[in-house]
Order: sequence, then C-alpha cells, then structure tokens
Amino acid sequence: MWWTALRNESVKILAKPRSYLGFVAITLLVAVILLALALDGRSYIEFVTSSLQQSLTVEGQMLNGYLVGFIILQMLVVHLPLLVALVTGDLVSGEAAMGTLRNLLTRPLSRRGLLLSKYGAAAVYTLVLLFWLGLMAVLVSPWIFGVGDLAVLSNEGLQILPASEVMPRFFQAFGVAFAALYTVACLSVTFSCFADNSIGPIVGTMATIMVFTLVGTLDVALFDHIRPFLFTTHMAAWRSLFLDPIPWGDILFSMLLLAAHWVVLIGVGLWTFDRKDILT
Amino acid sequence: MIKPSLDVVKAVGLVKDYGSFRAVDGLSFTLQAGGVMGFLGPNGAGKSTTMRMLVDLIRPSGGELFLFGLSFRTHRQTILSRVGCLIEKPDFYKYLSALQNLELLARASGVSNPKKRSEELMEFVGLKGRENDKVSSFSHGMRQRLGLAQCLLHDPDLVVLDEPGTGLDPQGLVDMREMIQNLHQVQGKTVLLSSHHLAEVEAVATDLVVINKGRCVVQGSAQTLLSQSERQIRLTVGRPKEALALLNAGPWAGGGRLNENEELTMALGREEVPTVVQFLTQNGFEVYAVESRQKLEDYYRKLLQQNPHQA
Amino acid sequence: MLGFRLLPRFGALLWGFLHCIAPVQAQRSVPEPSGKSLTADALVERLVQRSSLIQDLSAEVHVLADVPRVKIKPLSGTMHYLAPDRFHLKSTRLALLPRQNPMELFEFLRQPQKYRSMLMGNEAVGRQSAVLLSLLPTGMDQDWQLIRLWVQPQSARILQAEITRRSLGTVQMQYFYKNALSPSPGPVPDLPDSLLFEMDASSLKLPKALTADLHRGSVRDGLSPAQRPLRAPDGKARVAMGFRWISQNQGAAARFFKTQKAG
Repeated sequence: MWWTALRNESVKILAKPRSYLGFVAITLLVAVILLALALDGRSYIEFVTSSLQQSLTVEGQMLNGYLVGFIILQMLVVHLPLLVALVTGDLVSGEAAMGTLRNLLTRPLSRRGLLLSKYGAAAVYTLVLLFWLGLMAVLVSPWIFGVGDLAVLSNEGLQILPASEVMPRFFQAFGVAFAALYTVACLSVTFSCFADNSIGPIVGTMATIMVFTLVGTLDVALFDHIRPFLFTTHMAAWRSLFLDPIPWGDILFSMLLLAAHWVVLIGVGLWTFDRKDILT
Repeated sequence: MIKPSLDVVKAVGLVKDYGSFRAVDGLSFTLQAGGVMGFLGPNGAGKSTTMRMLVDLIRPSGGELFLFGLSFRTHRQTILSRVGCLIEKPDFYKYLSALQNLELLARASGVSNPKKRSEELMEFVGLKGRENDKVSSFSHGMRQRLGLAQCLLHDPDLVVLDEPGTGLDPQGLVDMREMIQNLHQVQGKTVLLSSHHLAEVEAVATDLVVINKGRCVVQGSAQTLLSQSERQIRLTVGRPKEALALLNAGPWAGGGRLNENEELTMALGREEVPTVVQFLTQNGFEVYAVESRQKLEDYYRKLLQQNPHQA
Repeated sequence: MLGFRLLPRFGALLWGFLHCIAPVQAQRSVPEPSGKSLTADALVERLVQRSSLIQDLSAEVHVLADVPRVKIKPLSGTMHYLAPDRFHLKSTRLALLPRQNPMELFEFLRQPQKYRSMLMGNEAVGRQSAVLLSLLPTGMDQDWQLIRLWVQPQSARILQAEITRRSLGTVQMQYFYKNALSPSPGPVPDLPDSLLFEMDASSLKLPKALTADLHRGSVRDGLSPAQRPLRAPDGKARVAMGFRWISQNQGAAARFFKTQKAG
C-alpha cells in the first residue's frame, strides 16, 4: 500500500501547477547565467587569474562547460532550498487547507504509511529537481562552452582538476547535494504536519535555514560547539568533492549528520501526524 | 452484508475536549446493522465532532468507541475498510478531473480496478459524462454527488454522511434522499446520517439520535419516538375564529391556534381527534378537512426545549 | 645530483620527474678547438650560432607546476615553436606556463646588437663548472633589463639563466640535458631535455570573494576557520617542463601554425 500511496502523491505533485515553478525558475536562472558568461565570461576569468598572470600564463580554455556547470551548482546553496520547500511544505498542510486530507485519512491506509509516502514523494521531487539542475549544469553548459579542466576556487586557493575527473565528481556532488536538499524537504514536510496552511511551513523552513546559516557564519565562540551539527553547515559539503585530495572523512561526517536529521525530522513528523486531530 | 443484530456502532461515554472546552460529554449510542440513523442536534451540539471520531479523524479524549465490535486502537485499517464517509463539504483536488480524483482515492482504498469502480460510481451518482471535467468546474451539487461517490469506492458496510444535503436545491435533496434509500434498501448498507434538513431525515431514518451540548437527549426507533409524541392536527373549518373561540371556552382551552391560512391547528393525541371533530360539527361548524401529522421538526423542537440534557 | 639544491619543497615529485625526464649526468668536457682563453665575445658568438639554429621545433612536453595556492596535476601536450615568436602548447588540459616561453631566450641571443656581454667569472652550477656571462641591453627602452647566463665553457651549453624583465620581474631557468654534446663539424642546436622555471609569486593573491571552503577548520581537526593556517608559501612559483623533441627544423611547427591560421 505504501507504493500505491507514493504513486498517488506523485500523481498529485505532477498535476499541481506549483510543482513546475521550480523547473521554470531553474531554467530561467541557468539561462541568465549562461548568457552572462557567454557574453562576458572572460572578465570573470580575468578577475580570478589576474594576479597569476603577472608571471604565469594559463594556456587552455578555462571558461568551459565544466566551470559554468560548477557555477550553476553554486546556486544550490541559495535557490534550490526555497524551490524544494515551495512544493514539499505544501504536502500535508496544503491538503489540510484544501480539505482533501480527511478524504485520505478515512481510507484503510495507516497515517504513518500515508505520511511516509509524502516523505517519499518529497524525495522523488527533490531528486527530479536536482536532476533538472544537473542536466542544465552538466549537459547544456558543456554543449555550449565545450569541456576542459575545471578550475575551482577554495579557501586554499585555485584547484585545477583534469577534465577526466570532473564528471565522476559531479555525480558524487549531486549525491551529496541531494542529501542536503532532502534535509530541507524533510524539514518542510515536518513543519507541514503542524500547520493547516501552506505558507507557514514554507516560511518556517526558509526562516530556519536563514537563522542556522547566520549562526554558522558568525565567528563567535558561543556557536562553535553547535555549528558542526547544524544541517546548514553541511549544505555545501558537495563542494568538497572538487578538492584534491577529496576529504572523504569530512564528507562522510556530513552525510551521516544529514541522515541523522532525516531520521529525527521524519520521527517528529510521524509522531505528530499520528496524534493530530483533523479538523479541516 | 452484516448480521442485522450486530452493533455496527457502539459509543460508550464518548468524550472530546478541546482545551477547556468539552465538545462531546459522555455520549453513548448504538447503531445496529441495516438501519438508517438520523443523527440530530443543533449547531455546536457535537455532531461533526462525533462523526469525525467515528472515522478516526479525531481521537476521543475519553470513553470507548467500537465499530463492528472493533476498536480503532487495534483495528484501524480493518474498520476503515468497511466504513465510507462524507464529512462536511466534499473537497477534491481541483487540478484533477473527477475521475482522477476517484481513481486516486480508490487506489488508496485498495480497490482492485480503480478506473472501473470509479466509472460505475459516477454513473450511480448521476455524473456520467463528466468524468474528465476538472472538479474546479463542478457546481456544489455535483461535488456533493461526487462526495457520495468517493465514500462508496470500497463498497463499505457503514456509510457515515455528515450533512450531505447542505447547499443542494430541492431536486438535489430529492436525488440525495433517493440515493440514500438505495444504499439502505437495495444495497443493504447501514447509514449514519446527520442533517439539518429534518424532512429529509424523517423520510429515510429508521432510528434517531438527538444530541445537545455533547450529550444524548434521546435515542430510539424513529417510528416509536414519533408515535409517542403529540400529533399536530390541522382542521379546515368554516368560521375558524368562532370555532377557535368555542374550543378555547371548552376543554381544549389554549390548545389551538390559527395559522397564516386561517386553518385551525391543535396538538392532540391520536384518540382526541374524532372527539374534537364531533364537538365542532355538533356545534354547527362545518369541518371540510382534517390533516394529522407527526412532524419530526415539531418533535425535535419540542424535545430540545423540554429536556436539553436528558439522556 | 645536479640541480638537487634547487629542488622546491615538493621536491620528491619534482626530483623524480626531472630525474626520469632528464637524468642529469656529469658532463664531459669538450676542449676548445682553438685552445685559446675564452672571451665574452667568443662565447656569445657560439651562443648566437646555436640560437640561430633554433627555428622550427616541435616536442612532446610534460609540464609540472608548483605555484603557491594553486593545485594542478602534471600534464602532457605538444609544444610548437616557430621563430621568432610563435609558441603554442597544445593540450587537452589547462596548463600553467611561465609568461616567458622556453625559447624566448634563444630569440634574444640571436640579436647580439641588442646587448653587451661581460664575463663575470667562474661559478659552479651543481657539480659543473660554468662561467657567468652577463648581458645588458643596449637600449634604454627595452623590456629586458639584465640576463645572466651560467654557461659551460667547453660546450657553450647554457646550464642556468636568470632573466630580469621590466614586465615579468626576475625569472630563473635551469637547463637539464640528458646527454653530452657530441662533437660535430658544425654548430648544432643544443636543446635542453628539461627546463625548470622559478619566479617570485609572493604577491600572488586570489580573490577572497569567491572563496568559501566548508571544511576549512572542520570539526575533525578541532580548529576554527581563523586558526587553520593556509599552506605556507615560500613565495616561489616553479614550472618544470620536460621535452621529447620530435622535430627540429623540419617544418612541423610551421605546418601546425599554418593549420591553426587556416582553422
């Protein structure tokens, strides 16, 4: 029955116009980035390499599809969480507001099964949205700009990765990015269990991300102990896959922490939803 | 089909609190298989809360609730597989068609052929030909019909209908009544029906439960309850005002009144009717028509006025 | 081992790289044909003759760069040089190369009218003895300000060069040769098997606005971002190039550049 419920949730997400906002937004944002870099990408590269060029020269095409793809992925940190929450925050509370939740809960399907199917649908949606972003970043960009070594900036400096290593790293990065974005999805679905309207969970999710991000970036000793355990601290863990050597230990820690967030959030959601009086 | 003697619904001392407000206060009633129970009460009596408890949308704060002899705590899915409900106004996914909505709910109900079953029910409720229309284009009456369809998807034994006639026009009310009668008389389902349209309840109900302020006021067979009450007699007489004055001077003082059509109306026991007619005719008044009714509306109103907390 | 003292702190890798590409061997002395004392002019004349032979070169090249705050893996490609100033490294990879291309020194040497030369004495380069030849530009408006060459006197082979340019600062180059120069009736191009460029990179800065490293100062090393130090640079950038010459003055480079132009 869980698969049936998941299928139902997927049908609803596919039919809802709001679900496509994220895809349209990504397409537009990517188009803007591609256009900007196609017109003036050289300035961007020169800004990065101007200091190097005093005594060295960079031979080859630094502005290539892989670099553009990497820049597009940077959007993950800012835009995708909102686009995910826009749909997943509506999964429970939207139905409560619409009145359709009582139709579902009077079926011979457990409340937990129903809610788990919504968490499953959130995972599917997040994956598809990420896949679309990946398509833009990893297929469209190389098609326009060609391929070549990927030059990545980090706090340690400039990292130039051979083109042959880039695609596997991108795939791994998407995996790690999914873990981060699914945490956002779980958070919004869990908030959705407490509310009877859509806007509350969405705003609540974004507010949580903003507060945690602020705590994570403030260099205050008070926050040093909690910072590593905030999920926002690990939302950019995918970038570590573009370092050499890849800090697998750190990435594994990030993944485990994010998975722990899923477990806790889903647990809270199930506990709440199981006891919730459906008054709408 | 279930055994006629089985208590399909048994509520014992049901309580529901919302903070300090007690919406249902020790409600007890039973519904046997094969009946149509009219579940009545004024606004705020606790009807909808009770209906929602019957389908586990709300968890009771106290008391016991058994459906088919089973408790939701241990047999939730078994119970819900035998119960269909229409709670308040029917809501659907507006961005899906009527058929898509039903198919989705049919899949959730475990129906083996959702499409076929959905089409059958759309025909049953009179919506054949509208399968592919978006629900957003449906009128209120059409949504009510669709609401009835969705509660029958898994062929339940018990149908719980919370105000199914709300917002329907007179023809819609008649159609709804006929569908409910079909469910009961043809399909053998047990129906629990709450409504403010007392005439419709009167037409279909075999049993009545009246609640007020969260408590049961009266429960029993509709026929028995209504027969025990006084009848309202309407007499069409010549010179109605003089006739009324005569009656007020006699043993029926204060028992009669004239309605807007200048017809004489009186509350009389069944045995008193011929006595009154005879009295009038003997005193020279022409009696053109006598109409005798036990109206649920009257019974209900009187009941609530007299004993609002009587259990 | 020659050049060992000059190996950078990524020494093991570079040492192995150079050792494999251009094993340094003790050079056999080649006696001066005339037996006379070496003069600056004579040395310059031999250098000019050799440089004049370097017209059209193609080589398979391996590049290893060690630049502060830059991580780049070794790469391979094909180098083409067509005198006087056309140089191109063809590779599928991004390459960090010195602004000064490897053949520019020879181009400069070919024009003796542009500089004055002075012998500054003998100096050892590793275990090899060399004479220090200083070249000063004759004009005031030239980019080249000073060139110092450490030249093996017998073979007139350049072992080390230090070039100071107005635009590029000072660049040091070390030349490595696999084999001794064979005696021949006439001058032959004396091409190095590998080159090591060293230049000052202490002023290298990368934009901070684009840097954000999640795991810098991660919980695993117990350091906060402020405490975790950056890789301590010694302020030098080094680029090593190893060559396998595939064409010397056979027109390969000319054909390459012609194809590029047509493309």
